[in-house]
Amino acid sequence: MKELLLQATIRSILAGFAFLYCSLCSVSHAGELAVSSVPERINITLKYAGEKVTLFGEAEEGALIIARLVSVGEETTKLNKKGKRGILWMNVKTLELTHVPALYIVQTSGSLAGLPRDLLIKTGSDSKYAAIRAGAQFSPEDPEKDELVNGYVRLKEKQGLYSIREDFVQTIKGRLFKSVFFMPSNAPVGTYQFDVFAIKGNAIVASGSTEVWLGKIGMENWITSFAQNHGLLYGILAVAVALVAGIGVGLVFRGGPTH
Amino acid sequence: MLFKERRVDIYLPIAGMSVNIFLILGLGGLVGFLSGLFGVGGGFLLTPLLMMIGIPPAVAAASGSNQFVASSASGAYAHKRAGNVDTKLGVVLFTGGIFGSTVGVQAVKFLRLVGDLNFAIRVAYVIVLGGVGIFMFIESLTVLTGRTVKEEKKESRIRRLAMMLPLQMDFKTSGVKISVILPFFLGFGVGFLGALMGVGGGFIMLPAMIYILGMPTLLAIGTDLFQIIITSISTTIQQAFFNHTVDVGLALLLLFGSTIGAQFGVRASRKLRAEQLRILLAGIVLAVMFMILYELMATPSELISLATEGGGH
Repeated sequence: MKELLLQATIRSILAGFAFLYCSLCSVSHAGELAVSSVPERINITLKYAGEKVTLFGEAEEGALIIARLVSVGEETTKLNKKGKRGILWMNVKTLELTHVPALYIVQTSGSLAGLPRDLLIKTGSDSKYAAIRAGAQFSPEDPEKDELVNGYVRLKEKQGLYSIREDFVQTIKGRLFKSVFFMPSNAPVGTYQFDVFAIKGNAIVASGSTEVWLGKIGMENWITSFAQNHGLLYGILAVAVALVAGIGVGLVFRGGPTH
Repeated sequence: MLFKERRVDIYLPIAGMSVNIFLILGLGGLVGFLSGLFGVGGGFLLTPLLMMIGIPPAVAAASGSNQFVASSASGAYAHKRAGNVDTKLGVVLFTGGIFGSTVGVQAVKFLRLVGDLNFAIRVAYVIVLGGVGIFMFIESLTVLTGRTVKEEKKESRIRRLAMMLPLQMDFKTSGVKISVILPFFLGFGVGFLGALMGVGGGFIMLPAMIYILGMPTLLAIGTDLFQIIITSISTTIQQAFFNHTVDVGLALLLLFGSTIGAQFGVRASRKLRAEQLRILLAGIVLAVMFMILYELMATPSELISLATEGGGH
């Protein structure tokens, strides 16, 4: 924990320098926001149960911070839509949804109410996920696109993969800010990007971004690639392990379970 | 507190999510307890329970098959040594079983493409659980009320029909002479359902062997275990090869839970009569069936669902 705090402090100082440098060199256009995350790499190991990622940065005093964590690269998802056939509910439609992120979490330092709509859309922070809606593509095309996207967003919110939370960015000593994002265990492996905006007077005064990598390492990585690339061998080994374990545990209990 | 919570979680690479170790051990324990208590595998309960905690349906079914390999291994070994296995009949049953599970795995593959595996699994559950539950309920009720004469007449009628089929064979160990076609298709049906539903099929196979094939109970149990272990091995390997949905970690956790649960189940079973046990099992089977049927018939709260696929993203 101490180590983490120290790291964070160092990063914040560096971020401060970066910000100072940027504010000196850029006058007319929106400035660069120095941001950094701890950790920058998340390793999925046997004990992985999701991970906290802390975003640090420094912005103009009094600015509203909008920070968004989004998965890089699109996810292909298959969606089912249920309908009633006779007396039973069953899936009547299956569509492929592309050009949507697997994870989309927005956290802000204050209320978004009162911000102009185009600014909300620009920063991807409107409560109806306009950014997702605009990009989403269905195959085959479907007249019920809006309803389907709504359903998709609800599912993602339930899984903790999509959210928009106000007042989740803390300001420390006026200029420094930090925000804790939670990466749920079901978030797919890959690269994630933080996009951070500082808002003042209904305009973006500075923005910045940084990346976080999520991947399986060690045994978890080995098992996954083994199962994918050598399915037959994996199956045979799974059976062998099960046989040994079954007979072994049975011997321990003398006779094993009666079937 | 958060640190403590994280220590009991384990990440399942194939399912692509983390689960609480004790929850999985507990589920295995419950299923094992029931299997020890009733003398049949608890597979019909395992897949729906795993799906309930968020394991993708395909991974739940495939890892369940892997678990049955382990849980039936020790039992089959013991029965083989005690001479309770009719190898000849077992070979016919598992030949049918391998064909059945091959078709079953392809059906799972096809249904996953079409997108409605969930529906197919649920409908299969309702039909099979409903049929077996009602049959067992009536059978054990007749035994409990002492009207057994009528039952015997019914059995012989089915067997007489089996005797009329071609390819008659003498199964000496079991002391029955029937057409090979009957046990073959019995094995086929159970293998198919096993692949589709992730069940060992003991609760269909056992009554069928006793009532339809006319085998002695102990031999039926031994031969059934022998057949289940072979069928589960075939299903596991094929699921791993075609669908990449076998999570060994999940299967092992379930195994340890179920082995311990089974010991308590066996102890509890000694305190009850066979008919009482069967009627209790029939009650549980029917309860699960009604629960799934309700889900199929009640208006869902969410019409849109993810067609979740196992084996990474």
